[in-house]
Amino acid sequence: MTEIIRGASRDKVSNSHTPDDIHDRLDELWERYLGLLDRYRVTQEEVARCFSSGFMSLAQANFNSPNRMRYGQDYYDERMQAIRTLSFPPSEGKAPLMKIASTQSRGSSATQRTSAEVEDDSTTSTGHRKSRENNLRPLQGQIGTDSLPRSESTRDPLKWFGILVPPALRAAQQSFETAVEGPLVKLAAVKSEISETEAEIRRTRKVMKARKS
Amino acid sequence: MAAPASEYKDRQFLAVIGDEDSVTGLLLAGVGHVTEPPDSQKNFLVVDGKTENSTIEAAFDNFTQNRKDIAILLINQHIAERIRYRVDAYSAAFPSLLEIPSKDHPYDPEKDSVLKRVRRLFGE
Repeated sequence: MTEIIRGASRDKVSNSHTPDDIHDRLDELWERYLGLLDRYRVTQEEVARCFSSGFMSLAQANFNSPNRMRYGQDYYDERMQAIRTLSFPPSEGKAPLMKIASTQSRGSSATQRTSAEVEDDSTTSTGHRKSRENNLRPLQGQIGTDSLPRSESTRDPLKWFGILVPPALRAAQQSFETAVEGPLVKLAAVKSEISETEAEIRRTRKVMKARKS
Repeated sequence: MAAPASEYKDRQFLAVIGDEDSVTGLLLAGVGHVTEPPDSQKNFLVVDGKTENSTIEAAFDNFTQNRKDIAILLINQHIAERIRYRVDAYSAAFPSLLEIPSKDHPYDPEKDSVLKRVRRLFGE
């Protein structure tokens, strides 16, 4: 499946091709397209699983919170800075390769994951946490928390809600982190491939029609 | 045609339009960002029952047209339904628009704009 997404041939069909070539090309595009749609569906299910687990933990944290405190927008830090951002390393394919980079203040390392790495993961048979542990790959030069500027070490969003937060809130954070680092980036990459393939199918159909008329 | 690199190289943030729990969860994951003052622009919008559709549309326009630092826009599917005509008409590669489930509204493929486009392509 990964090969369908990343390595599909990208020769443009032109009027110089024979009708058989164009038909073959169109068949190949449809095959790739159907593969991508399946990938999109499966990835949406992964997102739903991560979110469902996150919502459950968040509800649990809210239910058990002292003083009926609700973990929500009243506690957001108005000066928040993103600790998970996207970047686009050079890629060979047409669709840009997306990479999620995180500056984790709680852990001892900064991590980066690319959409290609995410695609290679098997997430169907294992739980979120196990999959996440397997997936995280530390950078070659690890950044220790001590070496981080002070502002870095206080950027953990959990701290908005106090120093001693309930385990359920931590669990919610982990579920959403898993979603952001894994299936959401993968979903964006697959969607981009779907759009590319759609455009190519339309182009190929046009060439086919032009040759018929 | 693939999007030129200049169109996305400076895009680094995920933006969210969602209900309070969805936004809280995603901000806990560390995607929240507020730009430097005096602009202090947020990359999220919390939508509740009182939020007007015009506010959602304005945020959608801001994230998709004005902001050049957003790479992915996440929107709860039930909120996307409220501005469906805008979501379905959106076809730009960047920011990538993704419909996500919320606590009370599970993801429904029938409503997803991506899969609606698929039906159109098959019907052509």
